[in-house]
Amino acid sequence: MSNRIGVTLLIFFVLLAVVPLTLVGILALNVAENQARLQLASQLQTVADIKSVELQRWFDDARTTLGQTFVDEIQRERMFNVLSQDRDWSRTLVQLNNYIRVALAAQFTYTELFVYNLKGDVLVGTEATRVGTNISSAPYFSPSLSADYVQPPEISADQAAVTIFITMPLKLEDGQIVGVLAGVPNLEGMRGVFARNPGLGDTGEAYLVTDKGNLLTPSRFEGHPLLQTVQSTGIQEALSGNTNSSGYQNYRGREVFGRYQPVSFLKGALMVEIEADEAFRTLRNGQILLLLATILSTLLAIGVGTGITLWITNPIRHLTEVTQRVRGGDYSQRANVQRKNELGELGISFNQMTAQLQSLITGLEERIAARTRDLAIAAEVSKDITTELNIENLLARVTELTAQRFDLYLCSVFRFDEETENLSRAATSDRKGKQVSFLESVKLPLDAEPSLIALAARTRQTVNQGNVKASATYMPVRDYPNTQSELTIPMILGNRLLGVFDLQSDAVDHFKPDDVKVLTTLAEQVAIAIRNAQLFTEAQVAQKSAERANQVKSQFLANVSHELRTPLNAILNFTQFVSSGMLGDVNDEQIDALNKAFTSGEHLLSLINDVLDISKIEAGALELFIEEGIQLSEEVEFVGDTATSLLKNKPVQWKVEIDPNLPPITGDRQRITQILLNLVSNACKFTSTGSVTLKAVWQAPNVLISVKDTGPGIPLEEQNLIFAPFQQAKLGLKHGGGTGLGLVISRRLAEAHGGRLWVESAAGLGATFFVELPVVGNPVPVTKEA
Amino acid sequence: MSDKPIILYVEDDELSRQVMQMLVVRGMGNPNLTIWSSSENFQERLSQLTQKPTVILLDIHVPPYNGFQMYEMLRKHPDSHFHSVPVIALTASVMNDEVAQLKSLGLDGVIAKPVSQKAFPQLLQRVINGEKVWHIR
Repeated sequence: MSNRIGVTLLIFFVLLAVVPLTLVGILALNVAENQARLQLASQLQTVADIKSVELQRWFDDARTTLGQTFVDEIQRERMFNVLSQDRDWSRTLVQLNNYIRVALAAQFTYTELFVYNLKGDVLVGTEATRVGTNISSAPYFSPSLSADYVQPPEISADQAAVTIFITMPLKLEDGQIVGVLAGVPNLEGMRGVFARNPGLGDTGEAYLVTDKGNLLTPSRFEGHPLLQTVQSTGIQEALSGNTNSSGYQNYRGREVFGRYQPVSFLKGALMVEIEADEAFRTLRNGQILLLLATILSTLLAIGVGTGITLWITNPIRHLTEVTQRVRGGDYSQRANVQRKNELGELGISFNQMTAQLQSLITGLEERIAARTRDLAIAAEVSKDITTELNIENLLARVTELTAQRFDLYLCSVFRFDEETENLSRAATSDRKGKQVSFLESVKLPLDAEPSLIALAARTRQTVNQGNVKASATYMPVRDYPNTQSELTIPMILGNRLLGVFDLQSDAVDHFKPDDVKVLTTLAEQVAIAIRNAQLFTEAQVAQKSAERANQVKSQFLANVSHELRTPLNAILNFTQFVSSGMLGDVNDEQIDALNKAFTSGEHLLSLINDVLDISKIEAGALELFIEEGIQLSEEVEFVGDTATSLLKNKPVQWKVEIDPNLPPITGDRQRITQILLNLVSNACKFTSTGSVTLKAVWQAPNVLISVKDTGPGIPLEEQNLIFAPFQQAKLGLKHGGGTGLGLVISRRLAEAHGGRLWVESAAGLGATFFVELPVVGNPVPVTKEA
Repeated sequence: MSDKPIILYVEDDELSRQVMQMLVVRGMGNPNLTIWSSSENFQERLSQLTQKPTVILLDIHVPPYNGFQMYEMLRKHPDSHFHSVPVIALTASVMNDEVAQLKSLGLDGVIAKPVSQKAFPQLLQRVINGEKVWHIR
């Protein structure tokens, strides 16, 4: 059994539990992620800002330190003099070189200091190799002539060292620039700014990259030495001048979230990065927690849902199962729903309903069973008696069967005599099915009183006396004193009272309304059986006399036929022998007379033949002599001779149209020719001008032959008449001759072949007779026509 | 053997015999016609026939035997020629039961009296050809 409600409820529960949780979780995670990103970006920016400021401060400090190189005014004056006055300063230069070395040693920021004039000649310096050289080709030279300048990191050809030049113009008091002080800072100081990574966790770092992509500060991670060329989306962005925070893959190939910004005075980039894994660790933990919560709540929802669903659907399913068993016919089934809610009420209602149904059906079944049994008995009795055509036997049988099968004290049939208006006992049986005889008179006048039988016959109403001892209408019978209740049913057919069906019981109130119905039906059947038996007896007598008459007629016809045919054989043939000249010369007049005699003889023969045929047909004994392969065209030739002779002196044309594809016919050759001859000779007789056409066409599976004339035609009302025996239409009578049997015989012959014959005509329009014959004959015996 | 059929006709009615004689001998120009007026010693006389008939025509009422008995004698004749020679009843009795009886007996046909001069030669030929002929009108 399917459990659709359960499944639906469960799905509903799970959806209710999981969907909102998931939606809220996803939303919260999304918000959290955005929040985390913003927070991280802000954190990284803070670090970047701090680094940037520290870097700037380091440079500012470095510049300040540089500016304090010539803090000694005397040395300073000397330096200016050297730069502004063109003299031989050999000695002064020695002093100045000494001084600058002392100045270098006095600080930690620079590793080299030197001074050059506006031409680029290094006049004073800490490094002997640089003093005396000209640096006018160095990139920092020209910018250094106008303002403070930081030469961006310059990496040596062997990538081993990086150099930054910080320059400061040397100005006279009137602001005139006479030379430049340059320093090469020790980058360790700057690197110290990036050595620590506060707020960047375990994987975060801040570093500087040169414009060529070299690490200017050391990587936090091993394997990435200083000045190594590094690359990432963030570095590219920053070197292009963009400042922002985003996620990307850093130079180590790790997914990071980073802040990048250009450092303009270094032409490099400041990078602050932290690995995404670490940065969003909290977020990931949140996601896992959410997933776990979702799974947990789903399981919870399934559990709770299943419980609730079962709680709801179990009683419903139980009710459904019980309903199906009840529907299957087991009305004793009851639902068991122990709930104090609507389902419980439904169960109680269902049980009440089923109980009602059960009592209803059980009662109905009992009644139907009883009624069926009674009807079966009645039907059995009816069937038994319909085959009995002897009335005495019939009535004895009816009473015996009825008394026996319905377990009655007595069952009788009284017949009504219409002449004397008396009812007489025809048969009486006791409950053992034995006929009983009575000493008392068996004649009962219609007005006899007291008598329940006479009362039923007189009033033509069924009388049901439940307690005869208390009734004044009841007449006791001496031999059978135990009658307590009696049912008398008049047997009426049409308007005729045939008798009374009398049923007696030795129990009070024995005949219930249902019994009365069944027994009334039975009484009707008995009435019909009585009538049938009467009719049969009458019919038997009539049939016997008719058969006898028919035999006499047939014998008579046979005799007459034989006695007429033998002399006709001589008459017809001798007249022909004479007229043909076989027996000597004859003149035309004699021939004409002989022909007339011959024709008359032939007419007489055809009359005999017709009468014989019709008697055969009426006796249902017309026999066909079937042969195969009849060519219709051959038979038509013979018919044509007759037609030609009949039309000899009339302006009527004889036409024959035979379909060349006509197949041979199976049938009685002579009978088929007889039909054609009959139709053609009729047509020839009735047509005084025009034509007579015989036509045969092949209309699978039949051959359709038609004989069409241009005669007076047959009015519609006479068309049926011409096919009735011994009837001739008016015209036929007028033309005289014939028995009026020809068409009747022809039609029956066609039918005997399994075919048909009919006419189509209208007064004044000629007539066409059609004969339809199956090619393969299917002869059926011609039965007697009523 | 002539191409004209050799006919044996058994008939007690004199007029019918005359009709047949004129019809066959003079009408059809066939001299091979033997006519017996009674069925006495039928079987013996069959044996004595010099020309064996190719077709036999029997009237049904030719004392002392009727047509059915003669037919039996023919078919049980010692000379097997008579077992297959076509036998036709030539009769004025054409009610159904009579014809049906002849048919069920095995006769090769019935030709009703009166004999039609026009139809007879053709019917005879068809019988000789092995066809069954039921000309009962």
